[in-house]
Amino acid sequence: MTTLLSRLRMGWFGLLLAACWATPLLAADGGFSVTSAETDLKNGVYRLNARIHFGLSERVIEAMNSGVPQVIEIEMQVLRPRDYVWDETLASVLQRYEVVYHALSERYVVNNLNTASRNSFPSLGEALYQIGLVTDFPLIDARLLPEGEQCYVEMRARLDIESLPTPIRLTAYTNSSWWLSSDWTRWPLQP
Amino acid sequence: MALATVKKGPRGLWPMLLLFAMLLVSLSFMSDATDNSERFGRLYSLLLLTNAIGLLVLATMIGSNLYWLVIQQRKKAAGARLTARLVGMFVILAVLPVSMVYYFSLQFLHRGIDSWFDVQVETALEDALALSKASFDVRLRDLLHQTQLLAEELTDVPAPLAPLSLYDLRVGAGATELTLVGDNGRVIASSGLETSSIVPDIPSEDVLLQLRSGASYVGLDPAGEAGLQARAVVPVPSRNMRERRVLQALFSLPEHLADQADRVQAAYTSYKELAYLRTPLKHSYTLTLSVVLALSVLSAVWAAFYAARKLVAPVSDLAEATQAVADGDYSNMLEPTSNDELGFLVKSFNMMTRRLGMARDEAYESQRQVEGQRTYLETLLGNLSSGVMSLSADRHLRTANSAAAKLLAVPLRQFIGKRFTDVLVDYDFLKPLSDAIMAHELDESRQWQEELTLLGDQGRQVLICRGARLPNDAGLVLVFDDVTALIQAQRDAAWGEVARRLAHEIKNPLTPIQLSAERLRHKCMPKMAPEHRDILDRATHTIVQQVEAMKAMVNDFSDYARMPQMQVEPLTLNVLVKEVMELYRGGRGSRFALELDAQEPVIEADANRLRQLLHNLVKNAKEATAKMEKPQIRVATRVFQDRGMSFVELSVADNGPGFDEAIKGKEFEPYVTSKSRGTGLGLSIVKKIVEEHGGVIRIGNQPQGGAAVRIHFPVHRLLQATGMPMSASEH
Repeated sequence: MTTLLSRLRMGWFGLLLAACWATPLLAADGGFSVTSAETDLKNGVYRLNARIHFGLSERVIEAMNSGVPQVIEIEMQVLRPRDYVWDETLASVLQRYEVVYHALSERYVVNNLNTASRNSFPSLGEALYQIGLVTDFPLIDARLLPEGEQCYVEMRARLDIESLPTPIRLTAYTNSSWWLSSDWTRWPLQP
Repeated sequence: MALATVKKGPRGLWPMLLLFAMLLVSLSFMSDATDNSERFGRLYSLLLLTNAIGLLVLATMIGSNLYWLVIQQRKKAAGARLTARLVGMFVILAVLPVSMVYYFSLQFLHRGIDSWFDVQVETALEDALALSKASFDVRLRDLLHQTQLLAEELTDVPAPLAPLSLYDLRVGAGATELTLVGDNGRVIASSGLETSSIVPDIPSEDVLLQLRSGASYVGLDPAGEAGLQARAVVPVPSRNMRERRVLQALFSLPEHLADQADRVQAAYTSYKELAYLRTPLKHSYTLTLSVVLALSVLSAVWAAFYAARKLVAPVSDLAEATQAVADGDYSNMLEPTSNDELGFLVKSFNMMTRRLGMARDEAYESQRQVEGQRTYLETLLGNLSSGVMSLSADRHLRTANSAAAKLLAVPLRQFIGKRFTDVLVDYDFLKPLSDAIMAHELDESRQWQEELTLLGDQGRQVLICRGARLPNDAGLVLVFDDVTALIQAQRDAAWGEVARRLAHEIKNPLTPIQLSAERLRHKCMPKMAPEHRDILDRATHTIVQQVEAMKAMVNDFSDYARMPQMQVEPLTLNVLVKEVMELYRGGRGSRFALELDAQEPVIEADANRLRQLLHNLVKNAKEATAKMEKPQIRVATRVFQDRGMSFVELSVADNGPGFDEAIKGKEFEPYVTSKSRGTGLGLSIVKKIVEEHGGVIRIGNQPQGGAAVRIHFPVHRLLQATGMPMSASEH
């Protein structure tokens, strides 16, 4: 009874979610993209606020529903431009999230591999939404920045193929539906 | 060198072995990583890349080896074919079993992986999961009901009192956490176990959304602090409050249930994952196995190349060295490589080459000695005054020294290697020599000596020729000396001596005889009677006359013995003949006919001797024809060619009785005569003069009767061109 009820609820909930996340879900194969990103200075620390959209491919979703954990990485860097040589990296942060489907509870568990905190979500969309929501992420202490120089921030998100089980790793490397990565989004570091 | 050879075997065995070892280690890691093991799981991609690069390196090396082999084959280098054959053999030997093992391994692998999966196991797992869910559903419903009861007790509880109430309720209900949430997800109060975190676990947006529509929520949350927990969220009924409140209760599940649920979940997930990975796993194992196969095959191929080149290298060296020996280079010494049969072969080859070299040097040394001896002999022969010729067994001219060519006046060097009879074609005056050789060939004499008379360009030549057979019937050697002058001198000396003695012996008594006869006549004649006087007169006259004649004869002898020195000069024969014949013009008796060659031959001769010669011959002819009715004497000169040389024939012929058969063959010997009067020295003197001038004299009777004397002189030159008619005149 409850199962049926919860399923009905889920269906309803799914519709609701579809309404909310229509664009990203429809663009499921559209890959990853940083839809918005900005930095602001609070208490002498630059903080990052960003929204990332994760469009997973059918294959990735199928693998995840089959119990294969997927790791999503968000890379954030503060760089100082230099002439003639590559730019100097002042700060570099790599946030890794593991998404696992929990069959018993029919929920998606997101493990933050950096902090070891766990959260579960009734749908994949919500799980991804939560991952893609970067709020007040401390990036760099303002004192560490060189004075009088315009630094910039860049970020991207991608699916970590190396974290996949070895048997599908080669397939993943050779199949474009596994190559999920956003472009580097760059913007000047400003308060 | 026409034939290129396969170079030394490839180096770099150790780097290759190292590469193999590295690839093997990397492969074992990779196969471990394929099992998704923790140790090498992260390294899998790197290992795969390493192996791929290693295999690529191997393949490149094999490719270069193959290219090298093709080039060697094109060049037809020694050993290339053998290398190709060995490589082919090794490759087939290695690849066939490995391929079979590969095939069957793949079969076993696929079957093995397939055998992991079973419909019954899958169904059982799904059933276990469903059972777990059902079991949890009942419990969840109870918890929901319990939470709803708790919520009713919180109806209209003011916010300040809420924490206390929550605490009591939580302790009473045995929940791990109770949270009262107001509008907009604001936490009004919360009570949790002391072990739990300070921050309350608020229900998520979707749950709150669901609650707003009046429904309740209950569900399992796998992300609880102690693992699986139950979450129930219910609306708090309210009578007076405007604010909509919800109560969230978190319950930890009984430990044994939670453990079982975890195990079911883990088993189910891992089975599902394994099922999903079934095909990729097969591919992955196939890939690993293929890499192993590729490594084995490529290593085998490379080892085949290495071994083949290593094996063939000494053979190629041998081939190269043999080629060098064939080209005459004996200096090549091969390094003995091993102690096996090949090493033995190399040692034998070196020994053979050394001996060949020594034999060559010895042969060269002996050849040099032979050459030296030959040069010595040639110098010796060249400086010899005697002519030396050697003929092969089949009568080919082998050697002739310069003296031989000079003596015979024949360019013998041109005829070396040719048959001796070929020389006769141009120089037929050598026929007596050839005849003598043939004659002694037949009688098989080992050594012989013969006096030969040749009539060649140089006139009459007398050769003393000695022949000797070479050992082993290798031909014969001829040594000859020109003794013409020697014989002439000997004869002259002998005759001079005879003549002088004779003259001396005869002259001595002649004068007393003559004087006695004259004294007798002078003393006795006046005292004698006229009839006796007449007899005495006649007798003494005869004596004196005969003594005179005898004196003249003795003087002739003296003349023969004491001929003055020759004074040779060119003279026109016709002129001399005419001059002499002029003396006989108008004489009684014989008629003279002159037939002189219009080419006016000039010969080198002593004019006085020739006059004497002609006088003697004409005198003889006159005496011979004195008793004929119509005595006729013909004197002629005629130029003729023989072997490219010009000769002039001076002939004196008469119509007399001719030579007596009795003295035939001895005409030229002194004191031989057919005449009633004469010393018999006339023709001897003639012959002597002819020989002094290098000519030949022949005498004989003409077919129509009468004697003819023919003398041949070599012509110095001709005053007139050839083809002119003969001038003939009669006296």
